[in-house]
Amino acid sequence: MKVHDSNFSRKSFRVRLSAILFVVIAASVLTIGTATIIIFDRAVEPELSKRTRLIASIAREDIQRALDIGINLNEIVGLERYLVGILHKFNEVERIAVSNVSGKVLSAAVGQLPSASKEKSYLGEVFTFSQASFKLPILDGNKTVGDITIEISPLFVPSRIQSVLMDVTVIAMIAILIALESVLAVAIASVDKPLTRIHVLLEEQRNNRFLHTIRHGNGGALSRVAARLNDRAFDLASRSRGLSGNTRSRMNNKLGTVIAEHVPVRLRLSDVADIRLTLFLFSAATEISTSFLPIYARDAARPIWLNSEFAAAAPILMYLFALAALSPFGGKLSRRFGARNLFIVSVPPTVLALSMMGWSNSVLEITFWRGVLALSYATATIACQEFAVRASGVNSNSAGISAYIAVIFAGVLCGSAMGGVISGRFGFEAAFFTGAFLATVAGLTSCFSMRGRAGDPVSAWTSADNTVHETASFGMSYWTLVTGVAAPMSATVAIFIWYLTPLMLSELALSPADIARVVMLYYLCTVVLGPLFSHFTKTPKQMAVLVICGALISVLALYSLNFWQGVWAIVFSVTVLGFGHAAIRIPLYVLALNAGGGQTSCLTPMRLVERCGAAVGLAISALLLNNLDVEFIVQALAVAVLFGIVLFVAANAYEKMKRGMM
Amino acid sequence: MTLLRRIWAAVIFVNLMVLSIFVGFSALQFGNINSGLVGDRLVVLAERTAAPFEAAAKIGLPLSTVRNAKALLERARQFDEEIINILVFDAVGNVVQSTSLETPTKISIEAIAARNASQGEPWHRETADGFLSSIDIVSSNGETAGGIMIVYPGGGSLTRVLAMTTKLSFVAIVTLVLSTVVGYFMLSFAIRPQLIQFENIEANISSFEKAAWRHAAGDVWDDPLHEKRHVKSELYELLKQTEDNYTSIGKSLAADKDYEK
Repeated sequence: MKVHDSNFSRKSFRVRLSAILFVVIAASVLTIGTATIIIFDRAVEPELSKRTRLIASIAREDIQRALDIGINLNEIVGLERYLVGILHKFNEVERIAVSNVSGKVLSAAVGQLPSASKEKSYLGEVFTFSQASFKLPILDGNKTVGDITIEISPLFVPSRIQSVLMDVTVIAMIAILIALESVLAVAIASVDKPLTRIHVLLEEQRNNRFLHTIRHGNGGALSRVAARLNDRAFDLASRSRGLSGNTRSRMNNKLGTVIAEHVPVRLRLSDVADIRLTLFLFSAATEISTSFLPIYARDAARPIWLNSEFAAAAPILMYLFALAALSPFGGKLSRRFGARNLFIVSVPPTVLALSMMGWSNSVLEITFWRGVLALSYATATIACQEFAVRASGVNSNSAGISAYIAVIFAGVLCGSAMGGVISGRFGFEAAFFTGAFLATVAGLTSCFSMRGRAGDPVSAWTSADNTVHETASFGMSYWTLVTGVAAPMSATVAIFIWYLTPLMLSELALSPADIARVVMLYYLCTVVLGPLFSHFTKTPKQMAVLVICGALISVLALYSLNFWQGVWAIVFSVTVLGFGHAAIRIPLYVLALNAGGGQTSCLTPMRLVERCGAAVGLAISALLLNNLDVEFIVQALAVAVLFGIVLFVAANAYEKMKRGMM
Repeated sequence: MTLLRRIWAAVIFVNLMVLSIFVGFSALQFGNINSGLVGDRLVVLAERTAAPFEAAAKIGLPLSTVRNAKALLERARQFDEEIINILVFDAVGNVVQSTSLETPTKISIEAIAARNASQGEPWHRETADGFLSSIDIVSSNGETAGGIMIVYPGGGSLTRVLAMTTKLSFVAIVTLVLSTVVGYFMLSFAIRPQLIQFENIEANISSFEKAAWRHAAGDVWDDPLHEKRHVKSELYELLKQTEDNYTSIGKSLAADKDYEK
């Protein structure tokens, strides 16, 4: 399709819109966050002062009891231990000290908020928190012998509100993603698509073809033009029907015109953007449990023969096996029944599986319903992928695949983050039901958005449209790409991101919400950097280089865990892995499509090998985790990725050499 | 402008959602912080009050036999004038001592349920009777001999949360209004290329429509957009060209119809 000057420049629009949404929402959250901390601080002030008074009174009473039996204030044994004991009960107390009448501190204890004094330097400059301090005299008979001073940490309120701020940051990010998709959908539906339809019809009418009509919206200049163009086709068709066959064909030959014989047919154009919102919502719905599934499965009732490591991995394994099982048929089903129908049929099982996962009590039930979810996820995403590739046309696969991957990962990011926040605040059931609701909305939007011709079954396509063939030829570079790059990458995601990271972080005493935030970093890299990388790489050679670089970066990410340990080591590793995989994902699909001659059927073996690789890898790691340490498994993964990329480079070099000799 | 207004509306809507969620979560968190602070304080007070009773329980005496129990409880009550009542109850929940004149015979079912759920740990909860905070008293054999419960006014916590929600809502509305105004200017500046594009398209269409009816009235096709150098006239040209095609085919059809007659 020719791109006209007057067409919408979608890419720059998206970038600008993302920036505006980010700035507006971030500024709002920052403003209200600051205001909330100040309001909270004032609101809890009376209560904090009551607590301070209570602590001081208790301490004074106990000390005075010692004085009553004749012990001097500076001779009380274990005074410091006693003060530390009081501090343990009240974690907002920064310091408690006992001093004599001359002001000399006899004993003091410093509280549990270690960051307070460090953070004071920059937070204290911005806000003035109420630093409550309370002094109570100690009496020995009718004589003052000293006093107790209690200081409340000024960072007590900010530390308590931190979790709200973290949650809201995540929610703001989810909102930005949802808003971006919705606003793009609004802009595309109201301006871009009507304009494209008009241009297609104008091109036809310029060549004297009056066969089609288009949808004209309600009101505006674009609708007026659409109505005018439609009327031309209707008018000529109805007038031409009044003529005899001979006269009609003579006129057609003379002017070279093609007029609809009966009623002009309505054009149904499809665009990659059609599936954006639908796929985004569906992906978010199915991934709602990503951040808490291992914990949910581990804590559920399980049969005696199943250990907790395997129970945690069971739903993910089932998911991968079900995906692998359906991979060979998804593409065929989509071509046979149409992407639209396949997607719509996939929605009810998804809603059912998500609801049932929320109601499940045992690991086996959860695993079964996760399997059902995987089957419907496979059919729905393959349907969308076929739609994207067909809508973008064979020559611009890169655009279709790039949009598909960016949207699917935005959905995963949004779903997992949303699941983390909702499950943390309202329970796991609420998260699953939110997923079911999102899947329903995705199903409803698909009825409208996938109406275009790319959603039809292959049999309904006219010969001119039908560029999809059933057979695809695969060379050695294709197979090395699939086994050397795709399979290790997907195994790394399943083993390292989905399984080991939550387990390692949970051992380091991180909460599920924090684990979700770390895992989110991986997806954030893919969403932000993926399209950026694909924007700068156009030729297959550049893409192959990008794939190699990405794989080497992921080796580095995995290997880095050998040099340092702890939470930040894992955060670093996850982020760098996300960076590496962001470079691989889009070129991988485009290279596979190129190797298979641009036919979507060539993605089938890749999907199968990818998922089998991940499932087998994960099963082996879950089995070995009892006997081997995590470092060994991560190292083995790094070696597998490195070996795969060497294989890919060698195969490419060999093919190049062979071509040179021919 | 329609495009700008639609996008603007979407941005306002999203911001409204984010701010509403923030206010909701913050109010919930404030409720938690507030009840946590009051609850912890009362638990400490209860622990302190429990000491003489625990000493009695440790040597196997029933809690009701502690001497000066009323005075001990009253002294604790004076720590905070807001405390409604301090109760001592036995293992099954029968009240044995109280600072109030109208002593209930048993602690409420809600309190018993909360006590069972806490499994011996100190607990505090907002109930219909007020804000309750309690700890268990353990006897020498490790079993519970009863407990101490402090009753605090309950409605205050809800009032404070509502007051907090109102304050936060006010800030949220101010933030929303500000971001809406700033957002409008930012949007109109950022998507200016798209807006200009769309204005060009509209200009092309209206020029074509004007030229078309003049042409139908016998005027020559005239492109008024030529005067505006910055406006591209690609769409105008296409519309004109296709209009010519349509007119000539239509005329030819009419001629053929006449011929057939």
